[in-house]
Amino acid sequence: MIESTIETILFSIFGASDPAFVFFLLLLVTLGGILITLSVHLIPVGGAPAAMAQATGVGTGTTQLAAGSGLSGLLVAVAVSVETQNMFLGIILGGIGAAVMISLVMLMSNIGYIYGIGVPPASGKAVRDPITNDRQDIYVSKGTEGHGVPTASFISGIFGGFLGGAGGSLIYEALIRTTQVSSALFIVLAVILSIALFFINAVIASYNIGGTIEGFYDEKFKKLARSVVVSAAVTFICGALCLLTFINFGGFI
Amino acid sequence: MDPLFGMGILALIGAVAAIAGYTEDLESVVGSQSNPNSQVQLAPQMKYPHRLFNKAISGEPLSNAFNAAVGAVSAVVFASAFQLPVITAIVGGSVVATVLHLFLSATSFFGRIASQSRFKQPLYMDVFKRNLPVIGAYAFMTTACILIIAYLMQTYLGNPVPIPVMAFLLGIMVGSIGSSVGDIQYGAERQFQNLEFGAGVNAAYSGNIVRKAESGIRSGIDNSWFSAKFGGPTTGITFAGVLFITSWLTILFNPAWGSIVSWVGIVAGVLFILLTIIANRILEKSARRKFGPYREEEKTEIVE
Amino acid sequence: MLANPIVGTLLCLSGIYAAALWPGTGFAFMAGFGMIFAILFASEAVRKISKYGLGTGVPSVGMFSIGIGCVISLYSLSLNSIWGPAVCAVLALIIGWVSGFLINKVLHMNIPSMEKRMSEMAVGSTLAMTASAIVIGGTLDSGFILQNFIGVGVAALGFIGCSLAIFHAFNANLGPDEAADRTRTLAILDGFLVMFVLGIVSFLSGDVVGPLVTIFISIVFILLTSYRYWTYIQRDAWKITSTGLLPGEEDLN
Repeated sequence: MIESTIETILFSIFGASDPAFVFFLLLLVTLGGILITLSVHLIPVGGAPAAMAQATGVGTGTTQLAAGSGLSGLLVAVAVSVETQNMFLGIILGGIGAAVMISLVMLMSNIGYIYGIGVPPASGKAVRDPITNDRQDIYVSKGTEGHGVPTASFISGIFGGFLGGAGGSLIYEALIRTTQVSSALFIVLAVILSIALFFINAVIASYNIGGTIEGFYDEKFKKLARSVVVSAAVTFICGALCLLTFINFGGFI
Repeated sequence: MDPLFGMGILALIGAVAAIAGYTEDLESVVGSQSNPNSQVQLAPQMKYPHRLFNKAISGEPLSNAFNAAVGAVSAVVFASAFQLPVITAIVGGSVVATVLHLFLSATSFFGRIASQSRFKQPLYMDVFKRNLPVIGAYAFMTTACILIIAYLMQTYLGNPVPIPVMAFLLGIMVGSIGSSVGDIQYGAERQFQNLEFGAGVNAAYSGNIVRKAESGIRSGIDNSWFSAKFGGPTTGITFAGVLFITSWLTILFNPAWGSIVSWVGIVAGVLFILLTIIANRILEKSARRKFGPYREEEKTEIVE
Repeated sequence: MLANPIVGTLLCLSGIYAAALWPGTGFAFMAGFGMIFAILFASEAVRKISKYGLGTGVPSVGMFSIGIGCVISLYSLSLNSIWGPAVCAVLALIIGWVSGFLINKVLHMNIPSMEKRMSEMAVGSTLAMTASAIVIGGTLDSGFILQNFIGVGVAALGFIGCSLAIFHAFNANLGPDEAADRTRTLAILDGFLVMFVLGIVSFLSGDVVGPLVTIFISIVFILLTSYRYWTYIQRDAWKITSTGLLPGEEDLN
């Protein structure tokens, strides 16, 4: 009874296309948004203080680093999606591309910290590294809250990058599925809307963590649930508009 | 496509990307953009007025994405509406982007200094005149390199994303790499060169940036040669490496040849990531062994 | 008075409709003026909200609003209807308010009037991006927009250009002695810089007179607003010297 009512409402909104399929795509888009939020919580970012070796993490803004890695994953996913119709492959390879980007960035910024500034990587929030069990507090120089990317943050960041790239690619793949004609115009439309949804979710997550986080072992990571609620709600609304845009521009033909 | 040809194009992309990353970092260092800008902004408030160029357009990713998008859109129009050759169109687009970037840089410099008038920070016109052409030159090179990469990726590697959107994505990428890899050397070392080497900047020194140059008073262009020795090259290597390896995933292991090939590509990507984890661990251990702790281990109580 | 959101919305909509209803590209520059009115009141909202510390810098709030604005404006452009721009303003008002409410209450940002500012920014960036699509062709025809605005990739310029114009004005004037009239002048200058590039893009429509008019008008206004901005700088700066040493101890006390 309820199912048929929902179906009727969806049918009246989405027109001639298969409403259940569109709703499924909308759920995928929402899932992609949640993955992006999760990714921002996992990537270790120290904000402006990290650029002065005053805080643990990569020395840039949360939104920008997540966008840099996630959008490089998106570029890979687009290249995959023109070669093959396999949606799963595009998502995984998009995630791998983003993880490659973030791992290289963290490795090179550690080289910068070690050889350019002369500080060993150390976390300011954990006494012992949760993965390698090394002492951290004695390697933190005076008057700072840690510096560099220690191993636990590094691995957390790689997972974050993977999830961000996979989330962005998932949004792209879901949006491009609304059209059977694989026209270049729709690929561009999907890419631009994925970029927009990526930025929305990245900003929501970085408001939640206040601009800096060290990784999965940080206290702020426990606030994740709130951010997931907000990003799911906002992505759901915006994702519905994205799908409607595709339908209006002549998808589902 | 012939994989050997693809690898050649990839190598060319890597070379151009290295230049793009290098100039991007130096451009942000001359203008003190991005995260180290917080110290330049704070200095007059702590009674340390300076002669640095305070270019606060936005974080590097967005300002580079704007340059790249403007340049790419103009280049596309020059190439399609005016039938100009591709190289000429790329140069023309980069010129338009540079002019806009100079407008944004100049207004940021004037605006930030004028908003600090209660701290008695003077507006030096010679700093403006000497630094602006350098910023313009670096911005031109970065934009032109990004446009060349976008053109190569679209024309020869068959990426369906149009050049402006591709340039936008590459601009975000090069900016986020430049601000996370290159800027730390400027922020933590060059701005606080009078402090002891081998420690993070103590929060008590915030705003107390070095204002004297090797001769005279330091301005933005005195910082570029310092970053050219370390920050710029590392940014270039990272950007080239990211583009090279992420493109590998789809060029060397083309998914069109079957799903087994692309699974091999995924395994290769995972192997590369594992390699960086191991390299990072080795680096971390060697740094700790060589530098030693800041405090004695026995004398420090563990506070859980 | 021009920075008032209601006046700005009405002026922006009248600019868009003047450009869209006039046949040909001769009046397309009117949409450019509409874009500047939208940018003006959105940057005013950024200015008001950024005075409370957001923790992630000024640009992130601009990226959030353009993310929402991009989704809604592409939806409204896909409607292929004369009511598109008006519908998108209403939708942006609702979605901006809802997302501001969620961010403020669920993430515990606790910033007064967050909902109001968020909806102002969402309306401003949505209208700015819609107007930037109208400038290049002077038409609301969705086929033309899909081909030239989205297909060529000009939407990327609309995305980053409008957001940069919205947040750059306040970010460039950040400081304790920030003045409202100076920030507004800079917002207008940024808007005309974007309009100049859109003027170049509108050569894609095949017309010559319309683009030249847009470029000529934007260059004239860029020069005028730059001069105005320079007079404000002369008024506000502590001292403008052609060269000189650093101020001494007695100057600072």
